[in-house]
Amino acid sequence: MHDPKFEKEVQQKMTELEFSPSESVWANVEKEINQLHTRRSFPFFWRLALPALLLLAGGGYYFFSSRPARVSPVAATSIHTNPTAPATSNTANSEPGTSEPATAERATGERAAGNPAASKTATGNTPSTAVSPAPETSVTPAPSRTSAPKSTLTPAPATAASSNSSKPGAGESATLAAAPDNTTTATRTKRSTRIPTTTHTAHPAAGASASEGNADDLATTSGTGSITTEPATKGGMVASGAGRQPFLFNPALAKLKSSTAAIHASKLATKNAIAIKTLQSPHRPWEAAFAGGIGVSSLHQAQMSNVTLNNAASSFSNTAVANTVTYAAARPSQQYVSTVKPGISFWAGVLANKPLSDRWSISLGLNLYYYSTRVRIGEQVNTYTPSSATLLTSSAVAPIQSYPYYNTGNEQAYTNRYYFMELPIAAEWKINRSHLLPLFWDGGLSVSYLMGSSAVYYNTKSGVYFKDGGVANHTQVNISTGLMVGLPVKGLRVQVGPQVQYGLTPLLNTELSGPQHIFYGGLRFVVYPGKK
Amino acid sequence: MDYHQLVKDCLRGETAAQKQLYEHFAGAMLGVCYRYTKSMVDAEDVLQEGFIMVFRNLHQFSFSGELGGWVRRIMVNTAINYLKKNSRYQTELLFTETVLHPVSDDDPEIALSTKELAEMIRQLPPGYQAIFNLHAVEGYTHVEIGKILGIKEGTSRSQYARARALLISWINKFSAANKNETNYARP
Repeated sequence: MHDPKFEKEVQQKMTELEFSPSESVWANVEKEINQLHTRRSFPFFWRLALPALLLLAGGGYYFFSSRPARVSPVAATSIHTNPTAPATSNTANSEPGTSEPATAERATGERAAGNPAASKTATGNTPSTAVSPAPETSVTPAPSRTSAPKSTLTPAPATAASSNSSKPGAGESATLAAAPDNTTTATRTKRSTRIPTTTHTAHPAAGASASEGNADDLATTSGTGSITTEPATKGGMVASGAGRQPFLFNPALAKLKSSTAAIHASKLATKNAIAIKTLQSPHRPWEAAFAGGIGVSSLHQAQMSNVTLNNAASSFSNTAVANTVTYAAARPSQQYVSTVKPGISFWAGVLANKPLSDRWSISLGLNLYYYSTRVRIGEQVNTYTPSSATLLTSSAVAPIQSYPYYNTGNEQAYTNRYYFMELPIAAEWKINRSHLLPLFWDGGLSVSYLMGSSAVYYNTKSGVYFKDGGVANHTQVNISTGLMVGLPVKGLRVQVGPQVQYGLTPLLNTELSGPQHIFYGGLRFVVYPGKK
Repeated sequence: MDYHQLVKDCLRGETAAQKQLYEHFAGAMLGVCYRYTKSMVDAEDVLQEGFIMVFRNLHQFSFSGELGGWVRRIMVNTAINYLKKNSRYQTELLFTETVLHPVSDDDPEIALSTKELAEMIRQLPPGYQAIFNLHAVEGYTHVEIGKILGIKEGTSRSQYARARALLISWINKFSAANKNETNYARP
């Protein structure tokens, strides 16, 4: 093994090694340290804030656009009463512009027993719809495209079409072709007239009341026991109403549209099945909401040493915990250390709420927080380089970023600003069962990331305020709680109430300023678009 | 010297105090920089960069240790970073995995002056030079050297053993040459 005496001897000799540097070295050093470089952390913040806002907007849009479609009570009832009924839809119930060209109607037993091949052309200029009276016949116009379970255009002697059949149409023809399997398919070409959404009920006395929508949609001629609806054609031309442009009937096109209608009918049946499932199971979907708050924030300094200042009369106490910010060493000159005063704070974000039961729910969110505190400091002195760019790392060779530091004093007020992005998770409990003014308790944790800061930190040992983003713990864990009351606002669900939040993670990763924790207290509001 | 007061005066921006601190440590620190580099110009570059770092980080000095040691540490790290940055030293700092070199059992009498020994250390290849300085002079362990230079501990050990053996052989030759009243010639 080597003898450490050699190393000791070398070490001793090398400590004696000295040279006189040239004058230019000090001149360059002096020039460099007197240069004032200001650094703004806000561009960094905004670089992150923009994507965050886009994320918020995108998330909100996603939540709102993916909310389940509501099923009309009529359709719901219909489905509930006979969920296993074959999917059937009505041709006359389409909302304008919904492009719902295809409607399939399945003829029921009686019709099946009729003449499936019967297909007649409506005579006269007006296409006629013949809907036979049936006691339980109902053709339900379901906005959600659900069908009436007992649909039924029961075969009966042809009845005159309803009155609005003479409405100048839009060259629209519909065909309910009685298929051999008793399936009637309707095809439309184009709809330009507005058809009101109505409930069609074939009343025995009403003849063809189902033609409320547009009588010329259908040219239904019923033979015995069959429903056949096809364009009223005459020599290949649809007989239109007065003033209507003649429409050339193309059998190939009609066939194609007929098959398209069948596909659409199949899709509708699938959707109906989903709707049935949705209605049958208790479902508490995620709800999206906008949240925000405004209040005050401060730094809670839990532990500080009890070294007193030389000039106690002029020292400031820390109002947060009534401890005095102190020095580790005696200070021969007068030094003023400011209290950390609370500053305005606000936040905004989105949240997704999932009801777990009638009273409990959980929520996840994404928020942007702005905290501020105020201190009084002395004059700006010089610049320095963050510690992250120094020892034992190659970052020292990177471009140097400098920040000002300040003496202690009472010369100016300084606002420390912090910008956080936060991911909260919270549980919410509905305290009462009031529908008018429900009360909610809210509590949870959050993880936040410090995106930018303009804060100055006090070094208890060297006695200066300094800016250094490297000394802050960028990732923070917070705990928060709040009490909220639901307010009856038309068209919205609004919750408002007090909220407090405390940072479990110390703000700084150094002991230079003592442990500091962010505290926030303020008013919180949550807005759920739409009524529950 | 009251370093405590000197540092506070420096932090208050007093140029006189800053110059006083510089003049107090500049000579010794230039010696440190000199050992790590191959020329006095490079050494002064490192010194300048190092003092800039010292003044810009002076607020972080905690008064718990020696100010001289703190300044020295910054100088050493600045020198290492300078070697990494400077293309003249980069290729020599590419350490390769080698088998452990047998350590010389020689225990030479160092009959050299401080500057002669420093010159001899500077004649070592940059990789050997840095590791020898860090371990033998600064007292860093091989684990620490591995972290500083980004190499394995074993590599640091073997490189140090080679550097030490090489240096001892030069010292022995120098001593023998002196005995024979001949001039020292670099092997």
